[in-house]
Amino acid sequence: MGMVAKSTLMKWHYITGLILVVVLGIHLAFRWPSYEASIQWSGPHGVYEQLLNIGYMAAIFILLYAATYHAMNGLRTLLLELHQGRYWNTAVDVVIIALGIFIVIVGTVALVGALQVI
Amino acid sequence: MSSVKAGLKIEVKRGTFTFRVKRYDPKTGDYRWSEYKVEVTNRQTVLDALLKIKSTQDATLAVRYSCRMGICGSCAMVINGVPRLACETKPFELGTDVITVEPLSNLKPIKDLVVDMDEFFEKHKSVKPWLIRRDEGEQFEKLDSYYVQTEEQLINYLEFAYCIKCGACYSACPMVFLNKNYLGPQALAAAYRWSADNRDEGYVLRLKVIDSDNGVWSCHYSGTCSKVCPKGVDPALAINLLKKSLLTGKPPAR
Repeated sequence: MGMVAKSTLMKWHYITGLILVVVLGIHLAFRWPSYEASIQWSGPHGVYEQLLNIGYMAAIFILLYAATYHAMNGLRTLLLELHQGRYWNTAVDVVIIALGIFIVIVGTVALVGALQVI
Repeated sequence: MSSVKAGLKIEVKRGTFTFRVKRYDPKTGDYRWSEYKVEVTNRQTVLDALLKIKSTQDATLAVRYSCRMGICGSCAMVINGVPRLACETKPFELGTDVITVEPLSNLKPIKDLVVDMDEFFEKHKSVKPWLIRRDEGEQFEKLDSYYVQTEEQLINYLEFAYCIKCGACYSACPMVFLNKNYLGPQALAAAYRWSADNRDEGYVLRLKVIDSDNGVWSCHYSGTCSKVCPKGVDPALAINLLKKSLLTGKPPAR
């Protein structure tokens, strides 16, 4: 990812890390007061109710994108630090970008699909 | 034994130390250990001992040195496992009877304790460690004026200007060991030193090198560079100040 300054990648790494603290907090808060009830489709605090909550769904979308970026950039850094040469670095970049795009597409399709159910 | 000079008493102790020297043979490409027993005083240094070995026991021992007073940085070597200046390290202060002396790690050996510093200086050069001005005409032709600097502005980078380029920090850095392309603590501290100089306008030109996978982001802050620096420079601090500048988008404090 030579076209992007490393500091830009790291800046977003820290920003997404902070975002994750917030949105994961929201995500966990919605398991409250009953975890069992929160994973049921219907009923109070159930999944259907969560899907109707615009704020919660926005947090989930943000969680998907922030977690994907944070995880992919972290994984890239770890893999590059194995220092296996130029071809390795290029392969890592290609795989990380492809995997990140795949996760974002699958996650978005799943979330949008869930929203269409309601 | 003691000697009296100007009314002051100087305690002179004598002791015999065993020097285990790791020697590189360029013909075979192998290392071997040589042992020498040398009598030194508490006023003498490891460099004095090595030169004594060279003049009385083994003339083939290769050692690089110049000033003998901790200024030139030529005699950096790994003494008892820690990179230090041989001319500033006293055998009596090491606390061991057997003293191991090895060439600097992370650098190609040339012979015995002498290492090739080319790679180290190439990295140093890559951060453009000199005063860069936008207007070179003003800088090099109008020599009637000079660039003003207050004491406060000097203090911003002064600590980092004390670097003598001995390579001790580079030798101690575990990240240089892992990644041969990593610039290393000395070059990055130099990049900070010049970027934090209020007279300099070259910070942006240095960004390409320092803001890369082999620049400041390769540092994992083990802090060994700062621990071993014989001049009290703190390269780890410089690297973190550069990271801060990169993340905030503001040049170092000037």
